Amino acid sequence: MNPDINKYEAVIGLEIHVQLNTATKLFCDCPNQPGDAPNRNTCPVCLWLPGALPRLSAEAVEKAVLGCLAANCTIAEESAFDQKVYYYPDLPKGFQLSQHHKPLAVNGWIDIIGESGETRRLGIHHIHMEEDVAKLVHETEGRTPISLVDFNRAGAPLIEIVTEPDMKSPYEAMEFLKALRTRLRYTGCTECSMEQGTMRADANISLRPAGSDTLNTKVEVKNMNSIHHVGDAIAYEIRRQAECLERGEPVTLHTRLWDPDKRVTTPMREKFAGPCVPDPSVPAIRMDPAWLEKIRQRLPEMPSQKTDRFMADYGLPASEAFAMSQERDLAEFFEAAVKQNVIPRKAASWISGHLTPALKERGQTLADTCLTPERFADLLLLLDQEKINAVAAREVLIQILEKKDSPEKIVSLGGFEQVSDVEKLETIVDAILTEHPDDVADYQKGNSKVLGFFMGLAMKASQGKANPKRLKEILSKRLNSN
Amino acid sequence: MDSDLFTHQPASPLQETPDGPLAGKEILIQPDLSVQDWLTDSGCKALTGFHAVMDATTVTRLKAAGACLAGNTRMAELGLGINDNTMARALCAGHGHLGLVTDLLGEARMTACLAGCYGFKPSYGLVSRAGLVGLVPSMECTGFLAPTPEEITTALGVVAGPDEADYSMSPDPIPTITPTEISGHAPNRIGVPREIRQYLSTSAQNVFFAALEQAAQAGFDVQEIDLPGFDLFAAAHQVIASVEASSSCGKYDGVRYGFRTEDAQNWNEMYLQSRSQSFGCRIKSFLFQGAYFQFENYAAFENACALRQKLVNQLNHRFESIPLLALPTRLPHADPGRADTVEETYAAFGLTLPANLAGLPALCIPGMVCEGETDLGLQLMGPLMTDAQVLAAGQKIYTRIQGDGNK
Repeated sequence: MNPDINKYEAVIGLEIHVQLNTATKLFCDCPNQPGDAPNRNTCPVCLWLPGALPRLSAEAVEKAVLGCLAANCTIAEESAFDQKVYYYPDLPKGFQLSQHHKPLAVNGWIDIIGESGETRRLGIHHIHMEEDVAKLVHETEGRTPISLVDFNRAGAPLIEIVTEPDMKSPYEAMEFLKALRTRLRYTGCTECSMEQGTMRADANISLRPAGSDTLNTKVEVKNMNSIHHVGDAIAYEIRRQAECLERGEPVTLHTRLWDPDKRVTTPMREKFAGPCVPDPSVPAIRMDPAWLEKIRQRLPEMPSQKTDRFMADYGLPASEAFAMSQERDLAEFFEAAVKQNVIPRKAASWISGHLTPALKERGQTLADTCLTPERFADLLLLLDQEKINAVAAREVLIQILEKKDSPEKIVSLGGFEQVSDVEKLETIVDAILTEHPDDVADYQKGNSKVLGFFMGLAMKASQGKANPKRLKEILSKRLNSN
Repeated sequence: MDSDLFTHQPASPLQETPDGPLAGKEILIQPDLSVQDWLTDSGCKALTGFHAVMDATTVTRLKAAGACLAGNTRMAELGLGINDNTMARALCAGHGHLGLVTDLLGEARMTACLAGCYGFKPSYGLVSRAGLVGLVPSMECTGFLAPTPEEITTALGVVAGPDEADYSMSPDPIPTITPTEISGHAPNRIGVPREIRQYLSTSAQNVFFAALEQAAQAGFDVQEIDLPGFDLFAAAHQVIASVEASSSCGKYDGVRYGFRTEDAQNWNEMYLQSRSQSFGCRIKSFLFQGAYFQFENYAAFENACALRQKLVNQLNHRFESIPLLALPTRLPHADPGRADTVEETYAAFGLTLPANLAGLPALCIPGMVCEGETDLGLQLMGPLMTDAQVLAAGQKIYTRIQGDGNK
């Protein structure tokens, strides 16, 4: 059956868990490194041995507040931890310390560009802090099935961002996640990677007749480990619910899991969700206005502001300004290069055209390389001065990612200097034309595409070093005079 | 080891070169206060074989003050009530100079009453809870038992004050608490809630007011006051304490330590069976009550929290004009040592639990309110963090009694 999806309007809200990159866990001094050898990062507090008491980490509160500010939230004057009670072996206390009644921050928003190009302001209901749970490994193979618990992750600090049900399409949900991720990464308080599990998103989806403003029963979808999966899962769920409604079946409140292989959602067994009672041992967080102001000062310029400024200050087109502001390190690199007198658009095009792909291919960030804005600027200067051509510049760029030598030195050591000498280029061109009389005839019959073919051969013969402008001049002259 | 009285007794408890205000003092504790490598099972099967991995802050401070730990006496399961509690007997038999009993309903004061010694529950937040196994985090506090208020004062002075392992305490330094420092700080007025009369028989009222007459002779101005809603303390305590107990016992799952059932087929069964076999009847029913309010009647829990706040405010209001309140410690007809059910336990501790609900310091003075063989105890209670004043008042009365005895 192909339901008429346009009859319905989707109402989508997200609940996003983000792991803060603090040095320690939320309530103890254990390293916040869940990936270490199992149960290495544990102590009486995060194992919750009898007599242990939680000690709230100041760094976690600072980073959480930074995250909330990046999401345009109002920080609560007083927030407090509650015990979210459920019994499960991944929860050493028998409850999870979370902020239910008094969250850290409320009323935030993130702007995205909607599908028809308009700015859409998507609301955030609140952001609260909570601790992560342990990791369970159930080994079912072998004679006796065993279950293992790794408490490294138990007590890791999380913030949970709960949005308003403001999103209407998978596209908007994905754009929200991207914009949120970009802003949170800017604060430096989190890596925010869905693939690595430092960002996890659950989606709440319901349908209503297009144009209505009722809120119908929602279905929660979990287990998406990339932003694309979130989009796919929501799209699937919208179709599934529309089919239900078309068949006259009511949508019931439940939780479903996204299956990335089969690309469907399937109902999951409900985890028993308990009540939330105020925790008597963790003192309430009372926000000191002076302290909050200090944290606010640490909030960097946000990507959307940077985009606007890059357009205004450097004359970048919107798409380039956007590309230059998505990662804080690249944005700062871009500006530093511009300060070295590189033409802004040239810097932007080399960063997005060559530098970013090179980093991606190598699985590195800027910090992993020894590239500096100064040496990047020097490289582009050599290109400007026609000392090297673009092909060589790309090669030198790769080399200065891992070598500390100056671009000039790499050029001279590697023999990357551009060949602009007319005689040398003429010799190369003449040899090629002599070897390909048929193609020369072809060109002279009017097939101008052959020029590109000869350019390629000549470039190759010069080992990529020929000055392309000169080469083209000589080639055209010879072909037309023959 | 006298296993009738003790769950643990160190072979040679004495420190080699004791030095400090508690030098040479032998201290009895219960197995709910962590001492590294000592069995710390809080009298509960759930904690079978659990040995503490580090000392409680209180223990560290006692040791640093020259005290030695004389052993763990037997305690009621998870410290709720005083059934099977052998602290009074061990103290009477001369096994220690001082005893520490966790007080969540009045256990320290009630044990002192039975042992014929002084018993003191400090203000909530004055003594660290780090290393205390505990059951009801917002109400419990390490209590002190000793033959004189002076020894209690010395011990309290040693353990009291900020602890960076317990963030629920104020980080601000506290005034020095020593017998010399506090003497002369005794308030001169004592208020007696009129409502107390309804709990006491005529003869019990007579002995209680006779004791207050002695206090008057020691120099206190004693007057009756109103404390409306006195009967609500127990209800608020029970609802809130049962909920906190239910939460704080969530950790006893047999996953990391303690009792684990042998006959489960999978982890889910292991979890359920271990928990169901881990607790005795009274604790189970207490946990069920807490779970009921958590899961089925959260509104009642919220009401109890609001009521608690109201009762505390009311008490604070009374304390603006009266610096001390006097109550008996126990009721003549309810034997706290034989309270088998939750209801019986709450009935027996009805006069001590208000101090736990409100977090107030309270001292039980022995030998002044005796109805026949039963010492009902004279309990003095002061505003939050006036521990020094309450103990100074106890010291003043003690001096008076000793003076009478010496005549």
